[in-house]
Amino acid sequence: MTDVKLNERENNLLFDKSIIEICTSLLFFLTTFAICTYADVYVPNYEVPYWIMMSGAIPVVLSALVRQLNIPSFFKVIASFAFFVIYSIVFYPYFNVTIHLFVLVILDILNIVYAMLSIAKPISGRIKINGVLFAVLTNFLVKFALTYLMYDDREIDTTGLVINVFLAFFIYFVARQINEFEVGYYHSMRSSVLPVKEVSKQNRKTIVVVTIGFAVAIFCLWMLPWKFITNWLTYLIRLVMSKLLKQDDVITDDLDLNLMETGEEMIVEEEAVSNPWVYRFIWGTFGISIAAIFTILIVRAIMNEFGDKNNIRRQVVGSSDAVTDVIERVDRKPFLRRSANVFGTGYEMKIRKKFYKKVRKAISHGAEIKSSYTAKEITSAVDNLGKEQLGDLTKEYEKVRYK
Amino acid sequence: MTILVFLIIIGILVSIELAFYTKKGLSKLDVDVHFSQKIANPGDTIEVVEIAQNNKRIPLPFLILKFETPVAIEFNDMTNVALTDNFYREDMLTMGAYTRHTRRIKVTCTKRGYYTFTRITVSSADLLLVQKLGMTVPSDSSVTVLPERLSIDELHTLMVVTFSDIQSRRTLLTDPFSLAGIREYQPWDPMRQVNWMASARTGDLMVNQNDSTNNRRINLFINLEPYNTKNSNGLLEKTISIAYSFMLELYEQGISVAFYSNGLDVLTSLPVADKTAEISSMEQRGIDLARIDLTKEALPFFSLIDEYILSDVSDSLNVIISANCDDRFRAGLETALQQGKNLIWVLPCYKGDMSRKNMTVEATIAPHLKKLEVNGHD
Repeated sequence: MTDVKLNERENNLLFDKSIIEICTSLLFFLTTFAICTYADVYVPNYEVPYWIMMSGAIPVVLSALVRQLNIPSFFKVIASFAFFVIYSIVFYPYFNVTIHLFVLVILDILNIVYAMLSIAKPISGRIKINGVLFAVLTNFLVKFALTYLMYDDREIDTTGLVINVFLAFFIYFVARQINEFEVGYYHSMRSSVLPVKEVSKQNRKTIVVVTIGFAVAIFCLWMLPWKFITNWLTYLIRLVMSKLLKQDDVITDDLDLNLMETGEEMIVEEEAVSNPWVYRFIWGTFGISIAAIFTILIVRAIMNEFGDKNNIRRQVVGSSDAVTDVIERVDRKPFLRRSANVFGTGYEMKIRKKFYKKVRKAISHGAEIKSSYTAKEITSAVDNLGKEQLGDLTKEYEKVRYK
Repeated sequence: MTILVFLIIIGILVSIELAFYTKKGLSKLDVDVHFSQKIANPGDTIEVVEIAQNNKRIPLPFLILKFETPVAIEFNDMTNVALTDNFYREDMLTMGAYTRHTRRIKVTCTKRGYYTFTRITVSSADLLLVQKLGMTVPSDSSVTVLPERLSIDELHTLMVVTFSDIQSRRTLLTDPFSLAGIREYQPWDPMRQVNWMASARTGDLMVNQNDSTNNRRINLFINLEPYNTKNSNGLLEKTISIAYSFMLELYEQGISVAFYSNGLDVLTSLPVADKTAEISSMEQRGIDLARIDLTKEALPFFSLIDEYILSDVSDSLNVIISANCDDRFRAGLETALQQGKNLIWVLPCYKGDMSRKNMTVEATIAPHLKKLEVNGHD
C-alpha cells in the first residue's frame, strides 16, 4: 500500500467520487430491491421481510467505500465480496432469503465489475457518472422487463416500485449535480490555494435544493388528484385525436369520465373525493411543516459548519504566500422596512406620510427638490409645478415635525 | 402515469428555478477587480484585489471571475493563469447570500508602464447547474509602474559631467530672493541669515541658503527613436530609466530640470514633456515617463532640437539622452553645436556591446558625447 499524501483539492475530489460511487451502488441496490418486490408477489413462500431487503444497503455501501481505498484492485474485489459473504452468513438462517441474496450478489457483481473497469485511476482524474447512468438504466430495464414478463391480473401494490423510481431519479440528480460542478466548472480550477473546501461545500449545499425540489414534487403528486387529472388529459387527447381522425364517437373506455355525463353522478364523484382531500390536506400541511423544520435545521447546521458559529462575521478561508481569501457576511436588509417609526406614530405619522407621498409624486412629475430645502421651499417648488398642491398641509407638517 | 406526472412536476420546478435565476441570478452583485496601489516601482510586489459581493438573499453556487492582465504584471501564484499575449486568470469564488468574498493575489511589477485590466468577466450558474450565467464588469483600475531607478554608480559619469559644468559657471554672488534651502549655522554665517522658525523646530541654529545668481537650468531631452533595425526596446527602456534617475538625482541636489521627450503618452498620444523646470513632484514626472508607450512611433527628434534647443536663448545646459545615433540625429546636434549651444549627448550602450562602445562620431560632436554603460542586452 502506497502512502499518498493528498492535498485539500484531491481530498475533496476523492470525497465527491465516493459520493458518486455510493450513488451508483445504491442504485444497484434499488434494482435488487425492485426485483425482490416482484419476487415477493410472484415467488411462492418468498416472504422476505422488508428490513432484510433494506439491510442489503450496508454491504453495498461498504463495498463502494472500499473501492475508493488506495489498494490494489484485487484486494478491493476480495473485500467487496467479503462483505456480501458475511451478510449472507448472517441472514442464511432465513431460508427464503436465499433468492434475495442471490439477486443482490448477482447485481452487485455487475456493479463491482463495472466499477473496476470504469473507475478513474489517478486521484486527480475526472469524476465520471457513467456508472450512475448505467445503474439507472439497469434499474429501469429490470423493472420494465419484469413488469412485462409478470403482467397478469394479479393485484400488485406498485407503491414500492414508484418510490424506487423516485429514489433512482433523486440519486441520479445528486450525482449529476456533483458531476456538473466538478466537470463543468471546478475541474479547470487547479490552484491549491483556492478555498477548495468552501467552494465544494457550497456546491454540496445545492443538493439541498434538489432534495427540496423532490420533496415538493412528491408533495404535489400526493396532494393533487392526479388520477382525475390524467383521466381528463387522456380524455382530451382522445377528443383531439377523434376530431383529427374525424370520428364522431369519443372513445371513453376504461375511463371514469362516464360519470360526468350526468350532474347527479358528478356530485357523487366529488363527494367521494372531498373527504380524502381534507385528510390529505391536513396530513400534507403537517408533513410539509415537519419537512420545512428539518430543512431549516439542516441548512443551519451546514451554515454553522461554514464558520458562522459564535456569530463570526469574517473568516479567512485560505491563505498562502501568494493568495489570501477572506469571506465576510454583509448586512442583510430586513424583509419589511419599518417605515412606521420613521414617520412617528399616530397623527404625526398620518401628516408626515401624506406630505412625503405628495412630495414624491411631485418629484416624479419633475419637481426639482434638493435635500437641503425647508418645508416651505419644498411647498413652493411643488406648488410652482402645478400638479400637486400642498397648501395647509405644510403648516400641519411643520407643526408635527418641529414641535 | 404517476412517474410521468412526477417528472412533469420536476420539469416545472426546474423551469421555474431556471427562469428565476436567469433573471435574478446576477442582479445585485458587485464585482470589482483593482490593484492595491496606483503607483509602484519595478520589482515591487503589489496585490490584485478581487471583491465579489452578493447583496441579495439568493445564493449562487459559485462565481468564476476571469480577467486579463499584461505580462509585465506577473502573478506569484501562476496556477489558473494561462499565458498568451496576456495573462488570463480564472478564479472561483464562493457566493452565498449576503456575503463578500475578497481575494488578494500577489503580483510582481516587472516592467515600467501603465497597466489596466482588460475584459473582466463574471460567470456563474443556477443552483441546479443547468444554465450558465455571465456578464462583463467594467474596471477603471490601473497601476503605473515607474521607470527603474539606476544606482548612483551607474550614473556616475553623467553626474560628474553635469555638476562640473554647473559648478564652472556658478558665481559667488547669491540671489537674496532665491532660496536654495536651509542648513546648519556655521561660524562665518551672518546672523541675519538665521531662520528662527526652523531653528526653533530643530533645536539647532539653522540658516537660509540663497541660490546662486547664475542658477542654471538643465534641459533634459529624451530621444526614443529606434536605435536599430529590429526596433528593439531594451536601450529605449534604459534611456527612460537614465532620464528618470538623472532627474531624481538633480532633484535631490536642488537643481531644476525641464524635460522633453518625443515619446507618446499611452492614453493621450501626446508627446511627454514637462517644460516648467520647477522642482515639482518627481512622482508626477515618474508617472509621465512610465506612461510613454514605446509601441507608438516616436515623433522625429529634430523637431525637438528645432523647437527647444535652437530657439532657446538662455544659457541652459542641454542633456540629450539618445540611444539613436543616426545621421539625422547627429546632423541636428552639429547644427546646435555650431550655434554655440551647450549640450551633452548621453549614449546608453550595453556593457558587452563593443560596436557601440567603439563607435566614432564627427569631431564636432565627439567632445560632447558621453557613453553610459548599462547592464543587459537586446
